[in-house]
Amino acid sequence: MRFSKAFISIILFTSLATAQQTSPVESRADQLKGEALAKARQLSPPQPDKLERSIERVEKSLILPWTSGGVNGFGVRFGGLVTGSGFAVGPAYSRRDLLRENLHFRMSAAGTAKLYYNVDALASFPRLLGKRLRFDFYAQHADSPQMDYYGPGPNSHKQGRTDYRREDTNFDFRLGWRVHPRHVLVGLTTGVNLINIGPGTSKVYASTDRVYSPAQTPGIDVQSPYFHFGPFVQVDFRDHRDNPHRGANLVTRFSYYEDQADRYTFRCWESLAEQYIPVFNEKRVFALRARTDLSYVRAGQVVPFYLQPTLGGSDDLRGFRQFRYYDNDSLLMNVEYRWEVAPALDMALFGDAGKVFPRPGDISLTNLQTDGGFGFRFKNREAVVFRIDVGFSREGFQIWFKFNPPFPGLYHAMF
Amino acid sequence: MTALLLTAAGAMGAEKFYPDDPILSVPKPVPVQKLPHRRTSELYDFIKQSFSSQTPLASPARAVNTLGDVPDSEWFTSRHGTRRMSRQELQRGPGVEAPPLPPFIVDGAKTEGITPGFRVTDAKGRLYLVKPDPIDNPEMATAADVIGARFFYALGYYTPQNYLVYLARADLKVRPGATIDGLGGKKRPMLERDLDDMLRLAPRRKDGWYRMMASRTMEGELIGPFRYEGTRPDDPNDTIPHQDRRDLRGLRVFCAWLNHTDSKSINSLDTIVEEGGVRFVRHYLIDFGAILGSDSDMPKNARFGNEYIIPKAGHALTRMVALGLDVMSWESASYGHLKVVGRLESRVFDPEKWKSNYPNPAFLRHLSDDEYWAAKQVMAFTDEDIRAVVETGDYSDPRAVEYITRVLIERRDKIGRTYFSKLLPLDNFTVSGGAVSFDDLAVKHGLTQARPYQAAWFRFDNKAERLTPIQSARSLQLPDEALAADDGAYCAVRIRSDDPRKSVTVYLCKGNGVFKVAGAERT
Repeated sequence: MRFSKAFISIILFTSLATAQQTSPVESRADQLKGEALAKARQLSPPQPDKLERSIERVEKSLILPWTSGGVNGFGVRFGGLVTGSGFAVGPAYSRRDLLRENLHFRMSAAGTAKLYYNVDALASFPRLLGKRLRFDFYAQHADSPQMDYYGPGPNSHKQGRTDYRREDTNFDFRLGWRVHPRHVLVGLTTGVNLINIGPGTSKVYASTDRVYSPAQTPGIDVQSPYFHFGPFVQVDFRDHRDNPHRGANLVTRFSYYEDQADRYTFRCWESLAEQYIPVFNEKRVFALRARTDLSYVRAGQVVPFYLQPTLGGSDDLRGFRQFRYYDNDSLLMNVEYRWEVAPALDMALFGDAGKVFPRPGDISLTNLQTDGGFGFRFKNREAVVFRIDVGFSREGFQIWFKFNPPFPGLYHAMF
Repeated sequence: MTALLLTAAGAMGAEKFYPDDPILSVPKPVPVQKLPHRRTSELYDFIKQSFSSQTPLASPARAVNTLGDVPDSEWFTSRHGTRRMSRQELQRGPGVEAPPLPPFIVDGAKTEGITPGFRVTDAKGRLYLVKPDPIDNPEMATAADVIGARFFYALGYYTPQNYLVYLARADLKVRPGATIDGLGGKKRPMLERDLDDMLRLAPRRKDGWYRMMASRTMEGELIGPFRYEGTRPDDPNDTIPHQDRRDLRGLRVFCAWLNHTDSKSINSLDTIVEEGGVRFVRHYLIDFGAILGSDSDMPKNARFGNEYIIPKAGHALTRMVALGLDVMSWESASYGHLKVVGRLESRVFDPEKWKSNYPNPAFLRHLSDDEYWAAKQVMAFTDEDIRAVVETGDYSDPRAVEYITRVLIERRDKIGRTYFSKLLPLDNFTVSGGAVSFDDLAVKHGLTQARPYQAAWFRFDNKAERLTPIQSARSLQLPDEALAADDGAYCAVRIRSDDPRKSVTVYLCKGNGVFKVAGAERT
């Protein structure tokens, strides 16, 4: 019975539609109605085209969340090792839903073809006091078998390049309190660092311990565990943290490093100031940065070379090789002129100047190492996600491929 | 073969004008049954439109009547452009109900899109989607959403009912069973804490209250956004490729006026509604948080409205090599420096050069008569009309209303000057006292001085679509030959003014002894 009704309905509808179409069109309304009825006879469900199907597959797959680190569960980690280690990749496991989303946990490992590796774990409590207080525990073990070392001080030579192996095992605790929800952060860091230094594995360069004596490179012969602690303050008025166009950022951190063998105990005071000045409706930005790392030691104590500030590399003196200069203290200044080529691409001209020096009292603007260069900054709506910087100095040129902003902070990704 | 014959038969009976021309509304729609929800990927739309290598060829627009106007349909219903809306009507917009009434029960969170929000039920059981402002720009996005819904409604589109609502935290309570996308990637019960997290990102007023935009959920069955090209193959009433619809081509001019740079497929919505016992698809524009100086979660990027997100390769290369020393006019544009406004200006604005964030296939195909039609709608807004709508943004700083009103007036006038100069802007044709009369919209709106007109008359064969000159007739008075013609006869008058290249041909049809305007063509 139901079938008969449906059949009759179809016949009537089709007849009506056909009659409508074949009878002379006598009005505009007839014409438009006829077009609709004609289409009614050949309806079909919407079908995505090939491009749409492909994009949907990508969007629905786990590829994007896996590679972006947004997945809850197993994913893939890229990078995160020391610059110069090569392309790093490895597994990651993260959970952000533990303890009713009060505990975020991440564990990952990554290695490179040059046999660098890093295994780390992070547990964060980001929701304390209504997200005003955050507590992090970070543990890592890293092996870097070919760390560059060119000798101590500002007068080291490019030809003095050696390499050493560095193994880090760190347990760090960080507590941060947002005094102002957006602009003022104060906190404490503390932890234990176990560092082991050994011969480098490069077949091209000599091992550091064969070229430089313990007097030149304190700590190369013997290392001991460190306990460190100290406060930090950040006043941040940048418009966007990861791609700022205006505002200032001031950070200072004081750390006390206590060597368990009481030979290498020192205090470290790091300060960073950034200022961003936009012109032409933020399509050009002048970015300025100054940074000092100053170390203070008691009589009879020295700063081990592996905890000394360094200059040279993708984040400071970009025309020099990574870790080109080591000493107890460092001063760095950067200026960048950035212009927007497209919403997803900025370009930059930059100049860097800086030096290392043995005592805080030696800080001055004389005898600076300088370089200059240009860069490409690939960005999304809020952040620089990838950059290519090419730096030129009296020692040649360097090309850097980095997945971090041009002026990274004192401590990365923790707050 | 049958289809071909039917088409041929239809074509054989075709006439340029039918007795019911010009139609003011399309016929009652053919009923539809259940249609599936069709998702549109924003990424797909962006890639497809941004990297399309074809330069579209524009054919004359469809979805127009013989006067070049858009008849009322489920896409567009002529409102302020045809019949002036009162100040109250303009301010009410599509809102047929009273604003939402607290307290609100939160039914769930909206985590997709740029601006987070939540779904609430008000004290009368009505459902709304509620969105806050960005924390650095209080009032900016909520005002834009409310103002946009009213402007686009008055222009003729279907828009949601958007209201401003002021809430205390105590006015919001999470419904037991409400869910949210948890950080674990799965839905989980929503907690009061989640609401606190969302409110923490919203600007809080000095009185401790929050200002939100509440958008009434659409009536009918939601079946996904429409696209700006092609037709929906399962909707019998969707017969005209969208890129050829005048109401969508002309939308470009409206978006330029109001700086709606985010006019894309996913900011539209189709719903199946039922009226008079007939179910049919109605097409809405939604989400106006990125109009005027707002880009929803931040002030508008100065680039937006002036360049596409993906520039042409040559242009980008030039920009790279020039080290940023080639300053574009929009880069040096001056804005009002009001945080509640964002970036909106009129000095650099050029309606011809205005661009949406990425290419829109309907916008790309616009022709002069599409622009003319749209400019006519825009120019229908007086200074007072514009102010009335802007006031619905309920800005706490009166300078914001002054600034936005002034800028929109200046942008409106630029639109009028630009598009009324590309064609001869004669409109509102009538036959009275044995003569054709009309409005010169450029003169009417003070964009040009009063000017003389020349007329040339023709007999018109409606079936053959052929014009034959009536040599003696040179004024706007109907010639004797036309007056003596039988009922059903057509004649036409071609009117020119100071520029001989521009003309309007008005077609008249005689019926029951009187002439009526059957159509008009502009060249």
